[in-house]
Amino acid sequence: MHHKGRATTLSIGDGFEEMLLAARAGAPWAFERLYADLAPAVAAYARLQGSPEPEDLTSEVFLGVFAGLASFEGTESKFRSWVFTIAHHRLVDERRRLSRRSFVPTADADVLDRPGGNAEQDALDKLGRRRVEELCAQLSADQRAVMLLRIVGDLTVEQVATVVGRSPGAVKGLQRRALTSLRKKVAPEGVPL
Amino acid sequence: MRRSGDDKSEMSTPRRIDDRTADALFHGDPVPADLRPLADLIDGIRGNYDEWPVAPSRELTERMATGDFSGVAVMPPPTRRRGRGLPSLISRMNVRARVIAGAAIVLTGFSGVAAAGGLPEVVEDRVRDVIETITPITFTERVDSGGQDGNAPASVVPSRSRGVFPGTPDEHPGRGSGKPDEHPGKPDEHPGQDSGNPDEHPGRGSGKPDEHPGRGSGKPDENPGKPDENPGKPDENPGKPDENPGKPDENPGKPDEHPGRGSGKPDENPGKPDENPGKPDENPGKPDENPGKPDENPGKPDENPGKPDENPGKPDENPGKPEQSPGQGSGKPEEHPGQGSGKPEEHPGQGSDKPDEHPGQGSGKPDQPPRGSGKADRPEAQPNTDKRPDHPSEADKTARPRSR
Repeated sequence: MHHKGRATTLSIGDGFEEMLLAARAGAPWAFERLYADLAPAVAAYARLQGSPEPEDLTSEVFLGVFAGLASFEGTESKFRSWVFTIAHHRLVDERRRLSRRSFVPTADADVLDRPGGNAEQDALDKLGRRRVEELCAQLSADQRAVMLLRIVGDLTVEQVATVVGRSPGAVKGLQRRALTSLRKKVAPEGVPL
Repeated sequence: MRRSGDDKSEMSTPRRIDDRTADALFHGDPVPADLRPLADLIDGIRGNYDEWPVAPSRELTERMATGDFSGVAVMPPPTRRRGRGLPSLISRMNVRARVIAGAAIVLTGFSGVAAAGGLPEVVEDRVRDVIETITPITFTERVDSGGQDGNAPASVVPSRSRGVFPGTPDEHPGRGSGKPDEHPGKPDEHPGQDSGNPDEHPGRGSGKPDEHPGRGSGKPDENPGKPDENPGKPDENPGKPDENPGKPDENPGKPDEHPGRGSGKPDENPGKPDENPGKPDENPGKPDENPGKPDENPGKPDENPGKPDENPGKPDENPGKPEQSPGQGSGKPEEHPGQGSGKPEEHPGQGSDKPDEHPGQGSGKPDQPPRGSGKADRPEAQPNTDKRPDHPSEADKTARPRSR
């Protein structure tokens, strides 16, 4: 049983409040730190949600986050939830603008050509990423959103409920059905990760 | 011999994923072996994407360098949802529903316009006919064709004539004259009753039209043609007009046209006059019984003083009838003595305008409308028309049910 543990953690920790104050004061280093800490998760969420330009969407999300820092107050966990709330709304808005463009796994060169030292591991990663994206694409939009916010965003059920505008009970039901569906697809063949 | 553990299908029964298990999967906690593939998938998602470096856009880089994020919206502007108004509702309707809705709107619109009298008379008549046919609605101000008499078509009987001359009952025969106020004569109250109290029931022509509304108005409907059959009766009692000189004066010419109809209760026993033409003669005195009525409305003669002169001889022909339908004959007692409306035939008792059609009904004794009324009706009929206005509601009540 190989568990990598929780990859997404609160990396800033105790220094979050100080960093937040610096960012409100317009300190570039504070912005860079906040962006580096959360941008990968936001980009992953956007990519697995089928955004055609996940990096651009991520930049738009952080433009909004930094513009609204003056009005935000709370802990790092709350800040994370707030960032994903903005990301989710941006995604919904992008989908509407694109007329509900069907989800297409973005197994593009940028994703697959990630620089890595081990060719064999890279190949497995590519294959695994593609497979993960395909599996996510088979979920319903709500199930996918809940799953990704719980996994990539590392949000609690209550936080996810706030982001997607559902009740905690509905979120639990969605994640249960999503896991059951993924389990049926993964169990027979396994997932090459 | 099989054991429960030997059944592969039993072994493969998936464990249900509850909330606790889901939390364990998401947090990377140890999970049962059967959920390990799923746990590996979640770890793969988290590990492969969470560490992915993302380069900020040029705008973001510049703004982070300057710390200026003015003019940037935190949240995307809310997108407008689909319209929920009437257009969107219609657009979502199928063709059949649209056709039905359109037909309903058109029918409703025509009904309203027709009820308001905004359509041409011919069209209005047709529309009203259709509406009355397919709905329980009855138009009280129906513009009937003067058809029975053949005198004038529906269009010729406009409602405009109402108040001007009470005798223009064509529009609302049962109601008597349109504007009773204009002809305040009391004979209207009890027109049918021997002209004694014609004022109390002007439109009915008979003595107690209210008590037995069906008599005056209803019978004429049943035997509308009879009055025509005995048009000459009025001639038989020419002297009564003399008793009530004023009324004959108002509608002098009409008595000649339909002498027998003038009584107020022609409706109740429209045919009786014909059957018992002599009754008027039997009760010739009825007019005499209420001789005062003419006196009560002395002014009416003044209102139409010229008419008596025009047809002086007719009143003489049906002297007794004036009593029968004193209230009706106001404007044109001769034409429609009992009803006072344009269509006395349909509602003789009410309108009194066509007393000629139902001469025997409008007797001077409203209680016994058909008999005594015949001759006295005409002279009384005129005063009755005047009175109808005084009690328009009663006349309306009687007229409405019959109109249809």
